[in-house]
Amino acid sequence: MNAECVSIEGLSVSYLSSTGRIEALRDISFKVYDGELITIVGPSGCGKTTLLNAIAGLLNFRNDVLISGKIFVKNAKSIGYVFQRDALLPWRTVIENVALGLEVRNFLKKKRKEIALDLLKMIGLEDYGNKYPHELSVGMRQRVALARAIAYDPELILMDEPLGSLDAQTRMTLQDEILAIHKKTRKTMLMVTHDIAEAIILGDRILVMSGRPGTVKSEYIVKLPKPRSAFSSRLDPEFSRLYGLILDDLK
Amino acid sequence: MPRKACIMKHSKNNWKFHIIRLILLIAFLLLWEALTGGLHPSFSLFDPFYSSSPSRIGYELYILFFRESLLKDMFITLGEAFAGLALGMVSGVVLGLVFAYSKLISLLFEPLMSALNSIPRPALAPLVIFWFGIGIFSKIFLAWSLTFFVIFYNTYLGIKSIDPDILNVMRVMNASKLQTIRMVILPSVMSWIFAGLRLSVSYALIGAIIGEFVGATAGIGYQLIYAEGLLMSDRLYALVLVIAVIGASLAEIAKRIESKLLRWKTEIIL
Repeated sequence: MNAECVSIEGLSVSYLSSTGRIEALRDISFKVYDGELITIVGPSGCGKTTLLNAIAGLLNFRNDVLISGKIFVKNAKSIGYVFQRDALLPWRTVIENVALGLEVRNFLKKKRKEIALDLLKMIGLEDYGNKYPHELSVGMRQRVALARAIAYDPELILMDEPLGSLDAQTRMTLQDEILAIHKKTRKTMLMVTHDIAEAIILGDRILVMSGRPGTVKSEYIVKLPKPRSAFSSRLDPEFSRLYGLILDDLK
Repeated sequence: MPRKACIMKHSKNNWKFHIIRLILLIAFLLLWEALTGGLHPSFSLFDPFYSSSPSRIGYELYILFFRESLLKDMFITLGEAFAGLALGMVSGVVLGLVFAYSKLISLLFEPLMSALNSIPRPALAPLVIFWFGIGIFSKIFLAWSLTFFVIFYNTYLGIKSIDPDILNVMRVMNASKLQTIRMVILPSVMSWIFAGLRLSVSYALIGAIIGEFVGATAGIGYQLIYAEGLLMSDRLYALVLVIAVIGASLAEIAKRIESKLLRWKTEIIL
């Protein structure tokens, strides 16, 4: 078994508001090992985003949040985050966006460009380097956001429903791309989704969450053979078996 | 980019529109000249003392520029306007930053800011002359008092409108405060300021001219009041034309700067 990359023990989070305390997460425990792709599936409003933000350390920037429990991240300074909406910087070109994290880490301009170009080639957008985000489709923008998150070579990549706003076909293309990136880079990935099929196709393991306050209801190891694909993996009996089980869990 | 293609098509036909516009302008000027008796004295519908005429305005422009020194007045007015604009930019950005980052200050002083901004500046002008005298400083102050608020509110909104997820991206990347300011805050603020540049430029001009109306010894506003006092109607027309040309040129320059710097924006700037 690989080393632990993330370990959560008894994590509870509540938000303080003028009307009182809203419990977002209750007593969550799980571990993520190096190189794993974990998907977290659950109904909307079950605190999935809160969970990712807690791991990314983003809750520390708020003063209206109460956190208890343990969050261990092997290298908390080396995290990539893909948000639901791409959160690209609109005044930067595509290539400048991809290189953002490298610029923060003071890489030289030449090196930044080299790495960013390589990544753009990998996601098939090498001709779009000098375009601005508003000139791209939603799917392309999300690809750029993905490239930006891996450009500075973080150990852990968090994804918050990155494909949530895409149409079904673009979605499947991007699922294949995430699979390819995971296979190539062997990065530890933690992806939140509300799409059960997506969780099964991408995940090595699936955590099923139930809503309000969010708790981990069940965990499944996905035994779909690799390499997987967004289309053909759906035809495997293991897919429908898991789909049924998770659907029952979420009822 | 279908929108771009559409504009390209328009600009191909642009010279046709230019010619039609020119023909319309000449027709209008000829009609104006004719109705005021400029082409034949018997055909005079309007009294040129009130309506002036293109030829009289042309003659007046010649007098103003070559016999008198209107160019000097133009430089004075523009100088006042630009000094006010520059001060407005610096102070507006600084105070906008302060308001955006200090919740306490913005809560305490926001009502004051909107109250001050709602004062019609002409009403303020006599008091400003009282404070600063009839020299250029009262005009600079009035130009500043209009442009400051445009820049101030744009800076404030520029910071407040930053997508919180973009700030989260910077946090996850462990960006320093300085890096976040340089890579996120400033670009956003600059884009809002440049989007308000056209407005600020014309406001600065308005401020300077209002100040000259109330008390001055030089400037285009002063020349207008002077001409009014001597009932020189042709000169009034000529001066209004000069101001219109200055205003339009400044707006065009601001527009060029804007569209050059804000290439990444979706909206097409009209």
